[in-house]
Amino acid sequence: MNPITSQTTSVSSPSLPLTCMSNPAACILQPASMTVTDLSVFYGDHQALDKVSMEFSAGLVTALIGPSGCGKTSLLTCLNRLVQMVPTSRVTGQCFMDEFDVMSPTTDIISLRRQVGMIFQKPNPFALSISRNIELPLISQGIKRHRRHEIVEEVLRDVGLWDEVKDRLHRSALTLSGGQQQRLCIARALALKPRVLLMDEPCSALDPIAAGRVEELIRKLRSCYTLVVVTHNMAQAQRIADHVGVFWASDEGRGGQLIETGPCEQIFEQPRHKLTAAYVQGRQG
Amino acid sequence: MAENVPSILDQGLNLDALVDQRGLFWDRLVRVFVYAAAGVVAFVFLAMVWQLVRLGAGQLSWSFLTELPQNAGREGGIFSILISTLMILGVCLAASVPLGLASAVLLAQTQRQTLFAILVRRSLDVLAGVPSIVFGLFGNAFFCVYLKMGFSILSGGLTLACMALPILIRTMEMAIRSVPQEVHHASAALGMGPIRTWVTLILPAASGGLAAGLVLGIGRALAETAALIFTSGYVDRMPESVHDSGRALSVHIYDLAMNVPGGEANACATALVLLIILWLLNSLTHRLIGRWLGRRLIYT
Repeated sequence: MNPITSQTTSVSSPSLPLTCMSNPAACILQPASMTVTDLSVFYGDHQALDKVSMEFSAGLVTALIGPSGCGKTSLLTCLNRLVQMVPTSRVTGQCFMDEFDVMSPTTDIISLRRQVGMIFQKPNPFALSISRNIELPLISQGIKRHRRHEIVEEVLRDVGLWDEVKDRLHRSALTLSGGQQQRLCIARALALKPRVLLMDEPCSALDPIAAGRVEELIRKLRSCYTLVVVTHNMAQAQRIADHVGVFWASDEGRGGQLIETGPCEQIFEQPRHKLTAAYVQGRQG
Repeated sequence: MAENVPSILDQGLNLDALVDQRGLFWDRLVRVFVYAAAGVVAFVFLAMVWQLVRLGAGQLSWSFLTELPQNAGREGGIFSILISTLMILGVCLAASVPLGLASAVLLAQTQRQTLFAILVRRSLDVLAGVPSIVFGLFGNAFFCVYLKMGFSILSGGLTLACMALPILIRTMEMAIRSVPQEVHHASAALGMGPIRTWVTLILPAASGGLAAGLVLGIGRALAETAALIFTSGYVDRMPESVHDSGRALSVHIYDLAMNVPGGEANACATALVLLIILWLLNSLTHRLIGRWLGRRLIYT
């Protein structure tokens, strides 16, 4: 398909299969499906998302596409409730992870965020050593040192970073390249054994080769994790997604709306909404 | 191809005309001014130190530091005064650092202009500008009289804490705010609780600024005279506990210089000691707080 990704397939070390794949029994938590119903997000008086209902199937990759400012990231941050870190934010509607009510005031946010990991647009490793970046969240879970070291190696192998960094685990994570940093962030999220992984344009700050490797990683993670990926790159959505949700900013200033959702092929080959058709063909947006 | 491109020289242009003479003049003027300003600052400091060294260095000796003052400070040393000063500073820091850090964390976290945040900020701005003598009167009325602490190191230290708080909080708030929001988000997304996030990531990342705030606070406390006369008193004997009255270095300098004929030399020697302590504490604070808090952070 894409020359870059097919190249990098051979470049990336034929590392061990993903922990979860090689040994499903080791994976206590299975990928979870997530459902949102009538979800609206407000920042102060500004509405960012308008009554979105959609499902993210367990173990599949759902891509969210659409022009900037139509609420894709807002939807993403509802799924792990990071949205509430914006002081003026307000969310209405429902969000479930399997049977679990995400929006309920009694939800243990810390446990939720361990199960719903998030990768940001800009790689954001802490100014700590490479290994400590992965260990820090594990320490807060009370995992013993010996086990932590095992997990560090495990997840670094999963993201194909182990061979590149095994000799400098105690160097600063900030010395890594952008692509390596992003894979470290993915490794850090995987270390918590999440059931869902949210990715907010994970490749947009990376050069094409690094982006290709992250993209390939996303395909490897499929079926072990439920993945929700925001992307502006239509070709990328086509390459990685099982399902696609198309967002569009409403005309009445009521924020972004979900205008169409469906299997990847359908969205790109037989879109039902005229805006979708225009957008995926690059005529609008 | 290069031959076809007419160069500036080919056209006989005068290169000097390209240089903006007026801009160059202002550039030079500003440069001279900036250097002169920095020079004046350095000169003032050096002149002061020279004056102190000239008048007071002769009095400095080990015994000056270890002996009690005699004859109203004209003779003897400043041992009891050193101890009082350090005790006052200790009380001040013990009270102001936890309060200041907690308030700074709260203020740095309130992104919205809540009424409470506005009220706290406004109070701090006003407090920062209140003359120390007013703090002295307040400390006397509140700590010495109302809380029945009397003239004591405790009253003095607490009064100094009130004085140091505004500057401590403001600098610490700035330091905390300078840590990018991404760190908060990254940490929250990894399911790390707020306490762990603050202790392991935010405060270490802000450690340089926190140390700077502490240095300013220590400076303010050590330099204070007026507020202490009303609160910790000016008895120059050795304090037995924080409930005793004690004389701070700056009060000693004031007393020797203004009230004790023949005390000038010892006043200058004491001032030298004060400067040296200030310098030591500053570098120590930067090293210890900065290094210790940020010990796990590595950027390169």
